[in-house]
Amino acid sequence: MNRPVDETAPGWAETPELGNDTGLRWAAAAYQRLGRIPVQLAVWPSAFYFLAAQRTARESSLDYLRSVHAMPGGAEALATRTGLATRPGLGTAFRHFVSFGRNIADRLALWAGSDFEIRYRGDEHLRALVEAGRGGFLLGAHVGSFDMMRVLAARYDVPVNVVMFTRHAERINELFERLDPSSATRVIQIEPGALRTSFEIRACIERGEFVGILADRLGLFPGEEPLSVPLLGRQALLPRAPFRLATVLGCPVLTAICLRAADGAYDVEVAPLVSGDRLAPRDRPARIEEMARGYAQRLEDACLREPLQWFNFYPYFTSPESA
Amino acid sequence: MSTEALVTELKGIIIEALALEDIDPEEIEPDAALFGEGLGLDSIDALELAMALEDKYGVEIGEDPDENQAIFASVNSLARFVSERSGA
Repeated sequence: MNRPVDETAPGWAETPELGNDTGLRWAAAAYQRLGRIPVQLAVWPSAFYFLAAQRTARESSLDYLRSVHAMPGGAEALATRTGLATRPGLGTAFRHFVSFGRNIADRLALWAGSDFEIRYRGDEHLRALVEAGRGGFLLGAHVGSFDMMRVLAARYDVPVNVVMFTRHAERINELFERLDPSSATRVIQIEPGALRTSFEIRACIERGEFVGILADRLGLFPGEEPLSVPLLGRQALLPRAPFRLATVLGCPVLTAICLRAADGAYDVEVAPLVSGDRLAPRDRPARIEEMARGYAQRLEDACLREPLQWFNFYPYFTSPESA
Repeated sequence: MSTEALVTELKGIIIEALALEDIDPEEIEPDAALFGEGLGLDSIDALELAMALEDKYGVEIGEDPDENQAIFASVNSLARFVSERSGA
């Protein structure tokens, strides 16, 4: 492995999860000392390393890219972003990893205090809730840059509590505090088997705050039965807990997805998923199902708009690839 | 309301709030654990149940984890909490 890859290894390994504060702190410090250029240079060899050495990541990338390609408009979207008109192969997967590297480089830059041009769409929905003092859920995904949720929180001066499965919540909160003392982002920790998380989330929402969850990955809420939803012509599993919690609480749910545009600016798109009303227990399962499908549709729209910004590099789909 | 009547009523609320229609109230042991083992309910079920109890009895359930753990231990502990706080 050559030196640039070595230097950014913690970035590759840790920051996508935002779960390890040591890795994040290390990468942010390296970025502040070394500047933007070495990180940018490291993107290419890192992408090559992933393509060559990380078989699961490579195969999962190809599986995803081919699903996009088979969708109406998918081949065109891929051709625009990659310059390749063929069915996705290693060249497209390589560009997918480069896009991932660029995402991490931008996240480090954001953490180190760089400014990005951010364009907002649909943020009036968030503003209306903030002005009414009404809290709710902000559902993000490992698509584009979810760090921009922090920027969104700062813009509206509304606390966003990010739900994470981590034992390091306090240390991550300290890190947030140090990086940006005015930031209102906090971490809510999931404790398996304990009752506290749900009540903590309710308390945040009752205070008119927002709860941010990246709802595209399982594992955040251990032991639950996942939801199966259609996505990109396939079936995929989503965690049930975010949709259940929102339904039980009867609070508004918004999706917030932030994609990097071709000009390097970020487009934040906020859209309401449910307005939030309390349903009778027997009507809840249908609402949960409907909400999860709506969320999956937003993911699909984002994938078809910026097909290289899907950052789940593990076997994601549960149904076989459609021929 | 007698403790016994309250316990019976609470069992009904648990079944209704958590849509556990396939469970017979008789099957819920008043002293058995509701969460984890026992009925196998989780943190979100507890919240659902808390909201149903708040609606029905006008009690308030906060976010203190130790207190909640004690309130939601069993049907009996729920009954004690409700009768203390609501005068039911």
